[in-house]
Amino acid sequence: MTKIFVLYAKDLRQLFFSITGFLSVLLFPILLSSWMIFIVHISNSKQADLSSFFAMYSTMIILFIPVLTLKLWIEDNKYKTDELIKTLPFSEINIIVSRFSALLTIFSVIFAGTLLFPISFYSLGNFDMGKSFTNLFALYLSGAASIALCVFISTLVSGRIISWILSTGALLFLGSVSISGGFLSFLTFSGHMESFSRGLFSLRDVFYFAAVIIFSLLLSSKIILLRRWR
Amino acid sequence: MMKKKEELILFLILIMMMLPVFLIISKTNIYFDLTDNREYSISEFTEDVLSEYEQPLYITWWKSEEFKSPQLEIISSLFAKLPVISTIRNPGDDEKDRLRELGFPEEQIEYERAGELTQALVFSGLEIRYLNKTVIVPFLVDPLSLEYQIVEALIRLEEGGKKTIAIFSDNSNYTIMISELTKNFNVLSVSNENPLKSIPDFLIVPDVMDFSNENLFAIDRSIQSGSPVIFLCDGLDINPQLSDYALPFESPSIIHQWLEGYGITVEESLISDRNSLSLAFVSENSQRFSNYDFWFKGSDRFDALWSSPISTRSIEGLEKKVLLKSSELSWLKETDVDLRPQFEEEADDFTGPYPIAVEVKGEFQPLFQYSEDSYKTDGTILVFGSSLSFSDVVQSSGSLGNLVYIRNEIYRLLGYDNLYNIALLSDRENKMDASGQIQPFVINLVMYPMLIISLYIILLSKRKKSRSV
Repeated sequence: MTKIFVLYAKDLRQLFFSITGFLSVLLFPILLSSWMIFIVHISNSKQADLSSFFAMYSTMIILFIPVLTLKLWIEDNKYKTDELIKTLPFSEINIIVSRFSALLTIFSVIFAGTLLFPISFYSLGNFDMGKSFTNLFALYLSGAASIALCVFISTLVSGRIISWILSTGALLFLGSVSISGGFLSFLTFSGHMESFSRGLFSLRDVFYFAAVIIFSLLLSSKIILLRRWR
Repeated sequence: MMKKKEELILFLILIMMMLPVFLIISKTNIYFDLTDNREYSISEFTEDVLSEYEQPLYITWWKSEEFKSPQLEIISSLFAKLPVISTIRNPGDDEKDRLRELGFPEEQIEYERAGELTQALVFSGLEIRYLNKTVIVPFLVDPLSLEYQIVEALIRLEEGGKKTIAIFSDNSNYTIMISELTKNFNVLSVSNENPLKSIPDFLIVPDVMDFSNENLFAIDRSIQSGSPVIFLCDGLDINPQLSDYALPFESPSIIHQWLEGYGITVEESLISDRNSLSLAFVSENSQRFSNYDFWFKGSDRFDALWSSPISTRSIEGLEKKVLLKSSELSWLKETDVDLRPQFEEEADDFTGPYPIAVEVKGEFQPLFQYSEDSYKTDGTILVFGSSLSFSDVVQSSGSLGNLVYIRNEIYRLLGYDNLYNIALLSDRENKMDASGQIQPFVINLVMYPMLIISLYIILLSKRKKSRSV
């Protein structure tokens, strides 16, 4: 556990104090809020409904998470910390879990920032609190699953730009492709966010996201293991 | 090296073991309804109704493959948890004829197939069987009304038949309303040539006809015997086929005089309301714009066209309650009102809201003399300040929302209060007024950046200090 924490603290510091980390924490909520304030005022919407906020949120996740993940690997390359870690007695799972936790912490900070938008609007109308909660919960889950997937892709592909393109492409497919019914709908994030968007807390979908996270992290650790063999 | 290999094999075994678990969980859908209005939960009333059935109740949703409705499937699956045998079936070719005979219509829908919009004739109806009795819900579209429609069908099953509604209609103004109400009730069309002979369970009286004494007597007798009556009254003479202007009546209708006796006046003016034709009901994707007090699920909007305001004065023994109001953005138009749409006409001084539907309860003074005392009982009447809102003029171009409204009112007045409550289950006022509000700007675009920048400055300075130490 101490090993994970040491690595986690290193990753978090690297990410949080980087320009990318700072801009993400600052800009993600601001861009999202500006867009929504613009939409509310331009459309003169009289309806207490945050569905466009949640839709935009998913798009922002697709844009920001691959960049943050990429940044962590670039920082490692820059300071050669990846080489250092390989020589130290850290297991593969230690490396992956700490990396994931650091990214999740940054995402949680961003997520907390974005919560200001619904809070600032709740006093202006009669919003469905239950539905908002399940929507936000789904966004957090999909954010966590996106991070795990990006971590997996970045361990799989050594080229950073290719890794970023693949991560964005995968998130774009899983997050924004809307397929009603069928096997593809079962695979995509959007298919598993549908129940949450209706205000239902679905255990099946929670399990799906948990499974994506666990599988991605386990597979990532095994890929690192295979790399060490070579 | 061996240890790493073992780890990898263990990992593969773990994945193999997790796959069946994953598959089982993906098949079982356990969820909790967190919506404020419990939109995906079955009400206690429905559970009570269903628990009264000692023998198995069979609910079959005959649904063509092309008809997709995830929401309907969620609600339908809830019924499977109750003491009913609930199934969803795609009718085969041999079953389609039987369904048509039972009264299930096939309706044309547009659906997406391989990325292209395709049209198909589909079934989406419920067949409910208990012992040797069968009732049907002909075509389901709206998921939010599923529970309502099932319970309504069960009441029909219990009653052993439909209630009788009489509608006074000496012309074809109400053919759409009559055909809609026929799905749930036995509808008698009454006119001066075909007068009302017996007391119906419910009466609808538009004031657009000259009533024979025989019919006036029948209306009065219905009120005195406690049958609910809905009066549809216009404040001005509106005949859009003949004139673009609404004019005062040459002589006041007998119904107006009658209602005056109960303390109800339908004013000689029309309400102009910018929301009147876009009053959206609750539905999955539609929006609601209006300030109207009462909303009923089951359709997508209510068209309050050419309504007159209703004023009331107190009469001993009669209680009055406003059921429907125009929006706050409405104003009054007096005599010689131009009925043509005038989009630019937006009054600066809105004087609304105005009552457009009023309910009166109590002991009504009879219009005629009766020898039997049994006629002196408490009754309920409902007065709408518009007859055209329910006529073919509006229904042929608008939604069926007004008819859903009137059907809900009929059920309520017939004593199915709980059914009415189911209809209101998903009703919520989800209005928002963000105009002129600056707190979202301040919080999101000023306070948040300041907070984050300050946080970074503090953390960076601390980091710098610790490094220098």
